[in-house]
Amino acid sequence: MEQGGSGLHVQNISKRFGTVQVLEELELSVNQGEFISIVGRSGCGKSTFLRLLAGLDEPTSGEIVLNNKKMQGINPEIRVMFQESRLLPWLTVVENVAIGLNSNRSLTPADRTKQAAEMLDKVGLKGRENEWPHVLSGGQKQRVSLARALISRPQLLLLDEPLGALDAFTRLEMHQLIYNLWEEQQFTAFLVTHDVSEAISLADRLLLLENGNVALDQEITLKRPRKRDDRLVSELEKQVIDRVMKVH
Amino acid sequence: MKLKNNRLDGILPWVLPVALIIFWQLASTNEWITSRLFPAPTVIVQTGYELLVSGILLHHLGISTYRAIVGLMIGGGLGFILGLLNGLSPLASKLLDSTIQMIRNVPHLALIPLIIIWLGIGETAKLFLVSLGVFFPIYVNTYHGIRTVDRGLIEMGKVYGLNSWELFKKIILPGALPSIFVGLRYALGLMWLTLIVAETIASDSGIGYMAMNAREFMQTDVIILSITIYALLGKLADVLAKIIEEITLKWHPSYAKKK
Repeated sequence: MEQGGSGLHVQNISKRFGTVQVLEELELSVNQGEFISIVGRSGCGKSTFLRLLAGLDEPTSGEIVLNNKKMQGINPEIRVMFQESRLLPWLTVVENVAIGLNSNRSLTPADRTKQAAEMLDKVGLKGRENEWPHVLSGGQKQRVSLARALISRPQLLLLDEPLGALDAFTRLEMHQLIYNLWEEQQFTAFLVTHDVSEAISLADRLLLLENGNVALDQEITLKRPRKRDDRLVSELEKQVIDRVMKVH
Repeated sequence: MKLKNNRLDGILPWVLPVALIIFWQLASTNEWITSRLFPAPTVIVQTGYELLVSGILLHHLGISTYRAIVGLMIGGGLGFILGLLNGLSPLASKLLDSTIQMIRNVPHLALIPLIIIWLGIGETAKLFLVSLGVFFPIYVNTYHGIRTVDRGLIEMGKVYGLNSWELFKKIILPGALPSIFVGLRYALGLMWLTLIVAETIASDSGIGYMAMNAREFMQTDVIILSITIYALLGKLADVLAKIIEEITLKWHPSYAKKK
């Protein structure tokens, strides 16, 4: 992959907090539309990496290039889905989704509401537009959060363990939903997770971060849709887990 | 059965006050107690009616309400603005907060002798005292409210491209609002308290003055009437604040309407 082409290029980035080196000269090239899962033990730097991609932190050195443009600060082409839904409790569900259109200054309020309602329909929450977030379940809140992230059709979606707090059934539903929207919108996705089987069932490529760098870059060519009980899925899962455990 | 319980629940809080008033009426009319010291409730209502018709009551009530509102606007407004400033700017907070906290520890009514010397007994002195009284609860709770807004929400706002003004309007201010209302309700209590003291000590008008003046002529009925009016005004202010709170915080789980 040549440098500077379309897609995302992470060039030699390092991040230090005081004396702690969190990321060390990390290099990575990602094609537009690829689904990347990042796994690793706590403190391996995966969340820090995601924050750098989001523009919430600056790398100590190195740069990130998105479609030939060096990234600086917050970028409207990049959306984040956090571990907590981070919905504004004082806005209705549909108003929360409309926040995702904030960067598009040319839209009228009526357009925003209309588009937000359509997006809510896509995540399966039609008819809940005017409810307050506090009446929703955890999974529904994350659906709203996903709708907010994708309503502006970003090029890059960053998912920071967004399903970590959900129960197993809701997670499977969310996997399906995220997968469907990814197929439809063709965004590049980074999913940080501690659940290896989740990483495998969703991604084209699995990255294992260790000591601030990529320790394993595994392409996943298994046919979709992937089933959890598929023999190949569980074999790969075992390999990755063994690899993670080996270091310690 | 359920309905009966509900009705009983509605009645129960009133049993004690109504019983007390009936007993008081009986005690006073039967001369079990000196009616000069404890005029009967009917006499107080009668006095209230006479003062109302003569316009005296409305005159004093108007002046007291005016002082309360202007004092609340000045002191509350300043408290709100400084609370915002210090909540939003770490520099301002470092510069101002410790001084404000120090002054806060002085009971504001202790300043009365000094205020009389500085400002006399005119309107300014009373407005100053009321403003000072309401300033601190509003300041402290605005400041605290802003400082405790969920950082995650602010970060979310930044990722979604909200500028500073939008961050303030859409996230910080609504997030601080429940705390600001706590401050407001507390301030309303202090507002009446300060006003009563200020009007009884140095004044020639207002409900507090009406009570103090009545003492000179042993008009116990007017004194009790004044106290009752203060109680009603305090309750009224609290109810108003509560209604505003319910409208503004209708998103809040604690205020959510039961369906």
